[in-house]
Amino acid sequence: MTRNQSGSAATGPAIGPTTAWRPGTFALRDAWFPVAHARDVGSGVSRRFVHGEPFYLRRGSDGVFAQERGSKASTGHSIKPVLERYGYVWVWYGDPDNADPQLIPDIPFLHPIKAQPAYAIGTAYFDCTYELLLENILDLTHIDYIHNVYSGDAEEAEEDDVTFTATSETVTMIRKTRKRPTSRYQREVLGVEAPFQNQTAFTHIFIRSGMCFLHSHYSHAPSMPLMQSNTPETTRLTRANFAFGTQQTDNAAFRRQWPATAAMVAEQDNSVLAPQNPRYVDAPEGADRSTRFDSAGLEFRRRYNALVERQKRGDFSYLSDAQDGADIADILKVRRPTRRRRR
Amino acid sequence: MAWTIATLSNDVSPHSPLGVTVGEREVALFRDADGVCRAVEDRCAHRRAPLVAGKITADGLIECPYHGWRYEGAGGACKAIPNLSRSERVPGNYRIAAYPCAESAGFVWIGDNADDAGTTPGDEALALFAKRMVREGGRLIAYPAVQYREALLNAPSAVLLVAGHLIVDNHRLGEPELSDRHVEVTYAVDQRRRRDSDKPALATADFPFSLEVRSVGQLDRVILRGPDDEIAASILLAAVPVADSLCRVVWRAEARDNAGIDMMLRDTLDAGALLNASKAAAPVALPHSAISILKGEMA
Repeated sequence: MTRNQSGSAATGPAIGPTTAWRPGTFALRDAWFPVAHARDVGSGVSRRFVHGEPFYLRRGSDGVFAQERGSKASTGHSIKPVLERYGYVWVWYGDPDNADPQLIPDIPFLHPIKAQPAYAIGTAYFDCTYELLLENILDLTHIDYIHNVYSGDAEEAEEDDVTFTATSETVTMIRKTRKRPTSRYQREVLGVEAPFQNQTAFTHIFIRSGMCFLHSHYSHAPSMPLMQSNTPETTRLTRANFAFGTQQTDNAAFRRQWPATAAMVAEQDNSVLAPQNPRYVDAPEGADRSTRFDSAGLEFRRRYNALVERQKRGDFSYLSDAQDGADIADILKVRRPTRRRRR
Repeated sequence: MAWTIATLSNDVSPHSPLGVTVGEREVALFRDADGVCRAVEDRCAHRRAPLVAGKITADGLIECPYHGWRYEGAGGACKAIPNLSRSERVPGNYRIAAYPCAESAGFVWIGDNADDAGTTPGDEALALFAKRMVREGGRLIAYPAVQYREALLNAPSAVLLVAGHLIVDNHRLGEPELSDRHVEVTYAVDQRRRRDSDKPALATADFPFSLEVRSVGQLDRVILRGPDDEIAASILLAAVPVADSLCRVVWRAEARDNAGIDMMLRDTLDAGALLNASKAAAPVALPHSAISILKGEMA
């Protein structure tokens, strides 16, 4: 389903009525969660959480496995479904019988077996429930305020068009901006001389796991795609294991420099997310006011609520449209790898 | 009275907003283009982000840090949302709460409801007394506001330091003065034998100095009187509850006079003095009206 929410809304910017929204009150299950960078799981125990449930991960001779707390076994039977792929360790949260490896999407910019270089990966924590972080990721107008240094000021852009698509499992936001001023980062660090650029930005989120993919195409500046796990650890903590697809750009300096900005960008987002969290998780439902720029986020709220309703009824299945949201190369418009893999 | 002290007037700036907690309310304080102090709900109507992390625009609106929504301080209406096209207007129901806000005696007071607008917090005597005050400050204290003020009433030496002097907590001068509105307790004060000594200089039965602690509403007024009953030092303070076991104490004090008598608040309460006071009979409690204000139970 595609809805274009842009254009002349002569009646005003309001969208309503606002969907009921209580993030942090339901744990969606039956999904793969990329809880750890593969290089972070070794012969010692790595503890990770999904919705408060601990996973004790260890690397044995047969690969990574999940064990009971306190177990001394250095190899053995994994007590929960665990997979290693794209440089991540994935754990299944939900009914083990439903743990289908095909539910992990094809990620065109990460190698199925080899990990990304150390400078291309990292981890950030956000002091909020993961739904708030996903709304933040689907909302590209905050970027003009919070991340202005990196993205430039879109308020002066000639044209600004926000659309979205969605499936029962994913939401994709697409923002096309024409003639937006080149950002300070692009000007001073990347040496982009053009004063204005056109930009197409994609953000794509998975509702159950929180995993997201982001990419921007600029007419003059280089860019690279990003995957981020956004694992719900608790209702006040979200762990983001991120990996940049550095190989998607030929700009060697940019490959090195851009991933280093992730920690600063995360801190900028957290400055808003942390105070937001108690105002959603601990507070009674409030009526949020919205504009057409929030259309993707509001669609996320609706799709999230629909999934919660299904799971409350005991339906944990994936609908057929879920596959449409799993083709990352098509969604982000990035090169497909020449090698193909399928286990 | 439904006015509550939020902070010092001088803390509120026209350049960036200040966050204060008043009862259950999180409030953003700022000065508009005319320098008028404004108090609004510290929560954007859009995505509940704290406005105190934002800025004040040149035309005196408070701007949310997250998406740049801008509000006016008098009524809380949203006046601008970035990126809208020219044909789009901000709907009239896009607004945040705005609270009555007034400045008196050097403090910012926040009203409970619209009825407070047009009335004046405090009273003339207080405003007159506050004119003496030229030093001021605020500090976060790890102690609940009600108990902090009761410690000041029952064991002033646990809360205050008076340069060169010793407050004698177990020597009340006369009985406390009590009413529904106020409490006043007077203590004997001795001079120190040497500047930093804990020993009294005189150790006689006569005390040339005295300390009056008077609690009215949310304010505590402490006056040190000298041998001729003249005011030797004074301080006006308000404990603003911040969390269950935390308060921010804002104070205004007189200039140090020629005698160099400096009265100041301790960073942490003196445990020994509190222990001694706990063993004494007849502790004085804050009037119920004062406790109501601190608990955010508005009259």
